[in-house]
Amino acid sequence: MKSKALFRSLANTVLVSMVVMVVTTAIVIVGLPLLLDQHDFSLGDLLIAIDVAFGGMMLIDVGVDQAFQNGVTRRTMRRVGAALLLPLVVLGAAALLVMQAVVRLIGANPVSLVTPYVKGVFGGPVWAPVLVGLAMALFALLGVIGGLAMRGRGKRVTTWISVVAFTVAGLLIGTAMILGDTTIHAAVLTGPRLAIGLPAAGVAPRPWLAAAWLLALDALVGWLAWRGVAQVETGAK
Amino acid sequence: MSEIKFKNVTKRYGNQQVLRGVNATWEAGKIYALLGRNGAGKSTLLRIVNNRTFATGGAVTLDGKSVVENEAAQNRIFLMSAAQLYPADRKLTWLFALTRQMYGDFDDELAKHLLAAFELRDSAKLGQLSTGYQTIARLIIALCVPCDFVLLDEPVLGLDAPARELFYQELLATYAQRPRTFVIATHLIEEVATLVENVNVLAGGEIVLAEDVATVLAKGRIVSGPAGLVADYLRDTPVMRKQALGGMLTAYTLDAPLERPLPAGVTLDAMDLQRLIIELTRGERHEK
Repeated sequence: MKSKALFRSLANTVLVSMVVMVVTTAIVIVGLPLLLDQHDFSLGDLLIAIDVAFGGMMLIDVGVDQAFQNGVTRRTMRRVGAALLLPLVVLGAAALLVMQAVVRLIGANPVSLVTPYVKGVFGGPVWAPVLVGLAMALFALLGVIGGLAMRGRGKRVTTWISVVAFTVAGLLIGTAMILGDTTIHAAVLTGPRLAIGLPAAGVAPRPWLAAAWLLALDALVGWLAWRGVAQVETGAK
Repeated sequence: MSEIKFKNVTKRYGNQQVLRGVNATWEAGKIYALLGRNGAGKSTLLRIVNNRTFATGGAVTLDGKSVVENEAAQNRIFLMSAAQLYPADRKLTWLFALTRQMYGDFDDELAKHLLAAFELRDSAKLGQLSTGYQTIARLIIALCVPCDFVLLDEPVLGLDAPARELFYQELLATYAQRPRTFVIATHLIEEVATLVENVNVLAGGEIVLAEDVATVLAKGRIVSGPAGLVADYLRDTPVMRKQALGGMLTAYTLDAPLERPLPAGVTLDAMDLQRLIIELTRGERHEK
C-alpha cells in the first residue's frame, strides 16, 4: 500500500519533471550547435548525466521526508527508489542515443563518450546502450548520494549547488560547441577515456573494459546509496 | 489490548546522551501527556516510535513486535510534529489524498468539518499558509488518519488561544467518537491538564513519572509554615524542593504524610499539574 502510494507520488513529481528537463536539455544540445553552424556535435553527455543525477537527488529531497511523515520504512523507500531510478536511467540513456541518431541523420559528427560504439544512424551494437545505461545509472546513484549528503542543509544550499553544477557543465559544453568539440575532448578526456577502456585516436574500442569499469563503479556507488538510505534519519540533532 | 512498550530505550547524539533508559507503556484508547523540559528528549522519543530516528539501545514494541522497519506497525502509528515534511507546494486536498493512499483510509467528513471549523480552505497550498495554519493543516491530517496511535509533538505551536481551545475540543470530540491513543508532547501543561488521562514525565533521560493524572494530582502537595514545624512534619519524607523565606519554609512533595496530624500554623495545599511538573523536572532529584 505505502510503496504504491509513494511510487505514484514520486513518479508524478520527480519523473514528470525529469522528462521535461531531459527533453529540454536534449533539444538545446542538438539545437544550439545548429544555430551556431557547428557540425562537430558535443552530445552533452555531462549535461544529460547531470539531469539524471539531479533526478536521483530529487528522489531523496522530495521522497524521504514524505516517506517519513507517512510511516514508510527505509526498506520500502529503497525498493521504491530503485523502481524509480530505472526509468530515470532509461530516460537519460534513451535521450543520449536518440540525440546520437538525430545528429547522424542530419549528417553531422556526434562527439560523445559512446560515439565509438555506435555504428550507423540507430546505434547498432548493444554496447552503446549498455555503456550509456551504466553511465547514467552511475550518475543517478551519485545523485542519490548527493541528495543524502545535502539532507538538512537547507533549500538554499541545494539550489546553489545545482546552479553551480549546471553552470559549469553548460560552460564546458558551450565552449566545446564553439571552439570545436573534438579538440576539447581530446585535451580533457583522453586520459579518462583510455583508463576506462574507451578508445583514443587510432586505438580499437574496448567496450568490455569500459563496461567492467562502469559496472564496478555502479556497484560501489549503488552499495553506498543503498546503505545511506538504510541509515537515513530525519530531524536528527 | 494494544500497547506501545518502551524497554530501556536509550539514544545518544554524539557525546550527548539524550535518553538514558526509557521504560514506559502507552495503552490503547488513552490520552497521554508527554511532559518534560526543553531538550528532555520528548521529540526524540516520539521520532524513535515513528522510525524517523534509531534508538541507540533498547526496544520499542507495538503488541510485542518491534516498530523498527515494521510497516504493519508504522501503519498504525502517526506522528504529527513541527517538522515540515510535506511538500510545501501542494494543496491540502493533495495532502489528504496522499495520506489516504498511504494509510488506506482518511476521514473525509471530519476533515471537511475541521476545515470549516478552523476556516481553512482545502485549495490552499501548505507553503502559502501562516505558521499557525500550517500547524492546523497538519493537525487536521493527524485527527483524520485511521491510526490507533496518534503522536502529537507540540501540536499547538503557533496557534492562537481560540484556535488552541478549538483544537482541544475537536480532539476530545473525535476521541469520544473513535477512541484511540493520543500522546501529546507539550509545554502548555495547564492547557492539557484537563484533557489527558495519563501523564509521562521525561527528565534526566528517563520517565520519572508515569501515572494517571488524578493519582498524580492527589499526591502533589505544598506544605508551608514555620520552618521547624514543616521540617518536623515532613521528617523522613522525600521532598522535591524546599524554599525558605525568613523563618518560613515551603516544601513541595509527592509523599506528604497525610496520616500525621498537621501542626497548627502549617498549611497543606494541593499542587496543580504545572507546578508539579516544574518541581519534578527542576533538575533536583528527590531528596530525603
